[in-house]
Amino acid sequence: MAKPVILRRVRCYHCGATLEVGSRAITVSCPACYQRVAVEDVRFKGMQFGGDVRTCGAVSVVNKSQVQAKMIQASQGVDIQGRVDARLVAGDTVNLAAGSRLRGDCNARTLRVEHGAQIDGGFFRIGPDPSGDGSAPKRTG
Amino acid sequence: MTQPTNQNTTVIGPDAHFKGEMSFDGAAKILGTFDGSITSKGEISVGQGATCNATVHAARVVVDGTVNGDVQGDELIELNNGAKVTGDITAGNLVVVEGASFEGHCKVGPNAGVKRVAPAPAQPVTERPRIETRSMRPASVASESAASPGAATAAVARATAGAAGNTSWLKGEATSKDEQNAA
Ligand SMILES: [Zn+2]
Repeated sequence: MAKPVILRRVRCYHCGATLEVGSRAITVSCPACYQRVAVEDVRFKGMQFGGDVRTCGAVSVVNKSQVQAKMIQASQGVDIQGRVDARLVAGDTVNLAAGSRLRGDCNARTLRVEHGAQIDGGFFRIGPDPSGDGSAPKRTG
Repeated sequence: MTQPTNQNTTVIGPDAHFKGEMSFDGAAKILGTFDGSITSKGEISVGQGATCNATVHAARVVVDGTVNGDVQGDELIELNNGAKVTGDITAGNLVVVEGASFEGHCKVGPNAGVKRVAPAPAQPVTERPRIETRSMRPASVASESAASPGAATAAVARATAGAAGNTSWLKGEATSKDEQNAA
């Protein structure tokens, strides 16, 4: 007997449309903007340099690992235990664990900084601002 | 205006509007409006509903209200639910509670470049500091409203911080809302 498909709701980071995807889906095609949307959780371990990371899931950077990217965009938040050199856009919480280090701008709904974490002076926009929902910035006019 | 509480805390009441510089050895709580700069070797708390258009520098800064200006907390900055900070943050440690918002550059950690609050000026005001207040209404009106119950809360320049053991240093002017309304 086939297992029932559990659906979860994610928001397309290209256009902001809400999608329903299977809990095990890795990528889907957005029915609104027809673009490929990553919906998996991304976990960084070791060294990672270059490129963008965009997902409707969550991103975690494990202890002692290092990530250097132009941008990390995660609708369900970013958990950093290692070292990150990137611009963060999170639809949920950005968590900086003790001993972690962030260098770059940050746009998130909430920020949690544990004692001993280090932030190196990027521009931060924290708050229940819809622009931090993990979707691409909307053009007006 | 400013009123001491039992634990060496100077309180700027919700009806007060202070413009200028303020420096404390102990703790201070802003409940009204503050424009200028405020420093403390202890804790500065910006209460709910308070607005600080000021640079704030203290060992610990706790924000529940609104701050437009740079905030430096040598040990800790805490942004609680409802806090709104627009300005740069430099802190030894940072706590942002859900519901707080912040926009500006952020430096956190032991190497954030926090410079400890300098000691208060050489001649601190240890006795009842006087806050210059502008008389904004005729004496007759002033004496009349002094008898009214509203005026009791609007009592200006009761900065008896020295009596509570909190050495403070004030430079600026303060007005109460009653005064502003009467003006
Ligand atoms: Zn889309």
